[in-house]
Amino acid sequence: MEKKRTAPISTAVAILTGLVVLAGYWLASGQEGGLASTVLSLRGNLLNTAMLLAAVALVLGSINLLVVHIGKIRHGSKNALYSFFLILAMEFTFLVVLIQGPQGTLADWLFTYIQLPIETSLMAVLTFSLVVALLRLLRRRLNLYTAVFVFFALLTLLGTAPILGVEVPMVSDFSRYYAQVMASAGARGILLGVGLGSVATGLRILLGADRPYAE
Amino acid sequence: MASQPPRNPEEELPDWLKKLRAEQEDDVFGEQNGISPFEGEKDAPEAGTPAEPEEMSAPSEPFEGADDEEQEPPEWLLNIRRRQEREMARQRGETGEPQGAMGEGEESGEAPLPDWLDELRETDAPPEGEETSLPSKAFREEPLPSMGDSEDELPKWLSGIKEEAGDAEEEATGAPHMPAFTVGDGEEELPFDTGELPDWLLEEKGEEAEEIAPRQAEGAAELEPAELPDWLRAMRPMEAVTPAFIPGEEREPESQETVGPLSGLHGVVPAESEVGRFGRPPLYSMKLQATESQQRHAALLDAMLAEERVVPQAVSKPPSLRDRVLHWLVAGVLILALLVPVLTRSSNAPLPVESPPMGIQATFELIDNLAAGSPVLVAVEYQPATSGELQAAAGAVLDHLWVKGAHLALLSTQPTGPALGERLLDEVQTAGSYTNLGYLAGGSTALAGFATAPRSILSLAVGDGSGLDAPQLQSIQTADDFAMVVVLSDDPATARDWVEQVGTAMESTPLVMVLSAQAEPLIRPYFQGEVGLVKGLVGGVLGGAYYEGVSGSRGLASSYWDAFSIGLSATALVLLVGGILSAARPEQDESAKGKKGGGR
Repeated sequence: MEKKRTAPISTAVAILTGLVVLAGYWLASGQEGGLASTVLSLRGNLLNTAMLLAAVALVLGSINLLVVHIGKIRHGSKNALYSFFLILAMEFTFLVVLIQGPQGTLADWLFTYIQLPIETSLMAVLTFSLVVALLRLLRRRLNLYTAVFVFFALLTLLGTAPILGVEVPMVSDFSRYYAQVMASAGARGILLGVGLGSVATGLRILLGADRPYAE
Repeated sequence: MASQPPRNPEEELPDWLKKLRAEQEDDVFGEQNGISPFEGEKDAPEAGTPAEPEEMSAPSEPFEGADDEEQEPPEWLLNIRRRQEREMARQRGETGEPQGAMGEGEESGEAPLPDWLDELRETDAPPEGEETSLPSKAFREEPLPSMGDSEDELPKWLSGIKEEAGDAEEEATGAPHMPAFTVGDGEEELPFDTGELPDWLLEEKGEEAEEIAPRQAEGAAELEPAELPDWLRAMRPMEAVTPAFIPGEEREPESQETVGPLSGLHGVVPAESEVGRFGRPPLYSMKLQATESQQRHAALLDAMLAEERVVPQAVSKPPSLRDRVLHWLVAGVLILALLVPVLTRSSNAPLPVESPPMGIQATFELIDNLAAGSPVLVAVEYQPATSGELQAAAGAVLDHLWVKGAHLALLSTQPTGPALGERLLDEVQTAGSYTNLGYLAGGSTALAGFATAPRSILSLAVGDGSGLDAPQLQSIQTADDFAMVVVLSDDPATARDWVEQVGTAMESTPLVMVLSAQAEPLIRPYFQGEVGLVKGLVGGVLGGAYYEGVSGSRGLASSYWDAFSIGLSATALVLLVGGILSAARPEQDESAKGKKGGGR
């Protein structure tokens, strides 16, 4: 009942906000006190509010993560030890940045010597995993599609850099054509789809047909 | 048959019938007091005996009509009678029977007729002096030849049957045997008026009776009361074992239809009273009647649904020896291919210099045309995992910017972006001035605000809050006030946000993208289009190497180039050899095995 009562209000607020933000793309900043200036000022305030809400959402997400892992420790979960270290690292980093700031010495050290190597190492492991997966694919499902996939993967690898220090012109030229024409054509199709979908979604929200905020 | 004065019908009832009525009334009262109507049935005599209760109650029906003296026969019955009388008269006319015989019979005696029939006779009688061919009255009053006035006139076989039936009744009911139809002092009478029967039927019945009588008289003495077997008794209609109405239930008085095709009939379905009558609704069993097969299928379905609720546990199958060998072989080849160039610091692989891609050439020209001290916004939008690739790609670009004397302003919508930007600038060979504007929460929304009102947005950003107060950035009011915007990203979506939210808001400021090799194909259309929202494009380590080759500097891309080249070659070689071996000895697909097994 309460939702039904507030639904028209929330819909009106959402449509009005969307129209104001959308109008900002066409309106040039005019004289002070003019309609365009007022709309742009209102648009800036709305965007600032959205930014603050996004930052609050980030804080809420961090708190939620903390609560979930505290719950795991309290219930004696199987991976409670990992949860314990996560909470410990989280609290320690939070205190360091809170005291020294994001560009402090200890905060920079934590980032440079802990977070950066770990994430980079995981990305490096991904290289081995992809190679092994492709080999298993060749062994277990060798068909036309697999052959085409492997052919273009080899072409990209060999065309990106000189083969064992020796540049092969034909391979690099074909690789460049493949990357800039064929891959670009596919990417354009994807972008057109994304654009049309974004326009349709925006119009539905502006017209009140879609109300994700009401759920 | 002697003429008798009219009598009260109640007085004409025999004693046994009066007693039976009294018992029925007692039963009715008993039922109203909670006694089941079927209890009497348990005590009923065996079926098939001559003394069936329903048979005993039957004789009361003819008298019910006599009780209602005002009741008249229905019109249709009168029509039938008239038609029969006309038929009889016609037959008599053909046989030459004198009509005066009827008068004789009328004078000789008259059977006691109910009042309604007398009234009917009077009303139907033709006017005096008028001759009629309908011998209705005389015909009805003609005595039956085979029906004696007294029991003495009955044939012996019939008398024997009556005696036996009477004895059986007495035995079954305990009541003395009474004839079903009596008139006067115990004289039996047919349940219908003999006058209603035509002569031909009476003659036929008389002849038939004469033929049957001797035969029945012979076997009458040997007749025994029939006994119905149980199965046959169970098949009797309910009307045979239940009373005509349920005692205790309110019964509508029998009414006579007065209009319509059922005019004159008694006991027709009383439509209105039935509609208004409510009874206890039938009780249906709630137990599901399912066969064994249905129950088996239901159990199977239940088991299937129960299996759906069980979360399948991932079965960690230990790798086979062949897989282990493969893993170690691949790891060994790739590690060796990457370690050797790094450890030896070799630079054997030539840097790509000739015919650089258009994006790289355009980027170089844009930066090369920057004036000294120009404010350049650098968006650090990549993750630490791809920092190695992005640092190699962007190192030469940032170095070129500092060479040209640009003032860099770092900004990021990623929480780790400011730290990555600091680290990136540490890797750049040439030193220069920069300002770290910090982290901007809000994603694309924040970018839209930043494009038009960066000062307003940055007042909320994480940082010292005075980023745009630096001397080189004091002129910045919108994003268009920067001399160039360089976006470093490994995510196509984030790069697209910058193009759509910031690139469209800038008219004269070029937007340059330095991307990972993974994101480059999806952003390339923005560079290739006629509008050209992206003015310069550098992609991956290859793009960085190209840029270093074009600018003549030696940065991270050059130092990585040998390891990058040999590593890619080794990977291609592993795939090629593995593909050839797999084509020679393919392994059957496990999913295909599962499908075959499931199909059986």
